[in-house]
Amino acid sequence: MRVAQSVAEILSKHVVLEVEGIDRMYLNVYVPRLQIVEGVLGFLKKHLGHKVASTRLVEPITRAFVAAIEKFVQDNAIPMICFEKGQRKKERHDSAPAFRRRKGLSSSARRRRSALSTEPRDAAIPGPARTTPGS
Amino acid sequence: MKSTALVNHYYFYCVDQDFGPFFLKFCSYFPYNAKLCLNGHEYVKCQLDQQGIAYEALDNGILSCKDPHRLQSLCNGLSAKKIDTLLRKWLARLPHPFSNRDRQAGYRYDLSILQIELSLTQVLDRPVTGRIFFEEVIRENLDIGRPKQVQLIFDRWVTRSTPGLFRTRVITDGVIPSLHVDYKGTRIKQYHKEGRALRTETTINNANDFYIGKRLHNLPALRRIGFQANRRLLEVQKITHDCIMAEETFQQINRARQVESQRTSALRFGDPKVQALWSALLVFPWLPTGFSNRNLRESFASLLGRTVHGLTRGQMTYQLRRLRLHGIIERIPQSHRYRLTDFGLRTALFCTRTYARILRPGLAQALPEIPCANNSLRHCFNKLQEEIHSCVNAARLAA
Repeated sequence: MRVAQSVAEILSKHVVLEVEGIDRMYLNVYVPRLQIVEGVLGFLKKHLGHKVASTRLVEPITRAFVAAIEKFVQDNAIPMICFEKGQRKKERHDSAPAFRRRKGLSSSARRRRSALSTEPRDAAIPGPARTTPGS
Repeated sequence: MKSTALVNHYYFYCVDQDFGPFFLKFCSYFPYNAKLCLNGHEYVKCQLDQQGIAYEALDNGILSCKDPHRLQSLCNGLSAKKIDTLLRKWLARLPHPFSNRDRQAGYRYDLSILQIELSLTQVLDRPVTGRIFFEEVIRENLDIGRPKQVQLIFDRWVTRSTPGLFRTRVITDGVIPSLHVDYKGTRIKQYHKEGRALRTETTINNANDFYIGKRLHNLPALRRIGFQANRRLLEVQKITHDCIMAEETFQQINRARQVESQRTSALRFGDPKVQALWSALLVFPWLPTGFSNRNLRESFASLLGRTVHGLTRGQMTYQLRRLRLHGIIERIPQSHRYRLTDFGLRTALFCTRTYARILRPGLAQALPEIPCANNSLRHCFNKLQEEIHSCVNAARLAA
C-alpha cells in the first residue's frame, strides 16, 4: 500500500470513520437567586423569616444536608472514601478497587472555594455573628 | 462579604442508563453549588448499546461502528434539554439541601457551562498514516498559534488588546506528540488518539471569550464555534502543508536531479530555452499516440527561432531525457514516442502562463525605463521610490 504524501490526501483518502461530538462537559450546578448578596439576604430574611442575615443561620441546613448524605450512603450500602488533607484522587484511584470502578461510590474532600460570610460591624454593637465555614 | 474557605465537597460517582458514568460534586457550604461532569462519547456508547448497534470503543471514543450515520446523529442529539433532564433525575435520587418549599419559592438548581470539549475524531486506516500526519503537520505548523493564524481558525478579529498567549505548543508524551493552540481561555488540542485516530478538540473554558453566555441553553452556539474551529484548523493545516509540497516541487524542478544512477540538469524557470520547451510540450497533450523526437524538435526549434535542421536529434534527445527524469513526460512502452504526464501538463501550463501573463507584463509595468502607459502598479512603485528618497533625505538632514 502506498504511503500518503500530504495532509489533504490523508484527510480525504485515509479517514475510515469521522465523528464530531461533545467530549467532556463540566457544568456548574447553582441556584441563580443565591449567587448575589441581595439574593442571599432575601433567602435568609424573607424566605426563612430570620430577622438578621447571618451565615450562622444556614448551619442547620448544612448539618441536615451532611446527615442526609451519610444516611443515604449507609442505607444504600455505598462505599464512601474520605480524603485526608493533601491527598489526591489519583492516589486513591490506585489503591481502592471501588474507586477504579467508580460506580455507586461517594467520596468527600476539602476544596478551597469562594464563600459568603458575615462579621460584626463593630464589637460594641451586637450584630451578625461570624461563622466557621464548612462546619 | 465574599471570601474563600476550605469546604467539604461530596462526590457522587454514578452510572446513568442514558449517559453512562458521570459525577456530581456537591459543596457542603451555603449556597450549596455543585458540579456535574459528563462525557458525550459515553452518552453515545449508551445509546448505541440501547439501540443494538455494534461498535468498537477507542478509549472514550469510537473506533468503528456498524452504522456511522446513526452514530453521528446520536452525537448531534445530545442537547441541553437531555443534560438538564439528567440533572433533575439525579437530584430527585440524591440528597441535596433544598426542600420542596425552597424549590417552590424559586430556589431551584440551574446549569451553566464551565468547560466544554468539542471534538472531531477521524479514525485513520493505519497507524502509520497518523504518524505521517503529525510529523508533517507539526513540522510545518509551528507558527499556527500566531495571532494571524489564530484569527483564521477561530474566525475572530485579533487585535493588540486581545488577551491571551498566542503560542503553539508541541507536547510529546512518550513518543506521541500533540499540538496545542490557544485563543484567550480556549484551547485546541490535536493528538493521535491511542495511535489509531486523529483527535482535534476545542476546549472552551469561558463562553464569554466568544460573547456568548455561560448558561446551558447556549450549548448550540458553543457547539457551532467549537466544531468550526476544529474544521478550520484542519483546513489551515491542509493549505499550509500543501503549499510546502508545492514549494518543494518547484525547487525540485529548478534544481539538478539525480534519479537512481542517472543525473539530469535543472529546468530553470527563467531560462528562455526551458520556457520554449514548456510551450512546445503544450502542443501535444491531447494526442492519443503522443509525440516523437522529431515532432517536439519542430515545435521547439520554431519557438527558439531556428530551423529544424539547426537543432540536432542528439540535442533534442538530451531535452527529452531531462524532461523524463523530472517526471514531466513518460515514454510510451514499446515505442519511441512520449506523452505528457498529468504533473507535466499542469507544470507546463502553470509555468508558461505565469511567465507570459504575470511576470513579463508585470515587470514592464513596474520598471521605469520600459515605456508603458500609466497604470496603478507603476504609480505605486513611483510613489514608493519617492517615499524612500524623501526618508533618506530627511535622515541626512537630521545627521
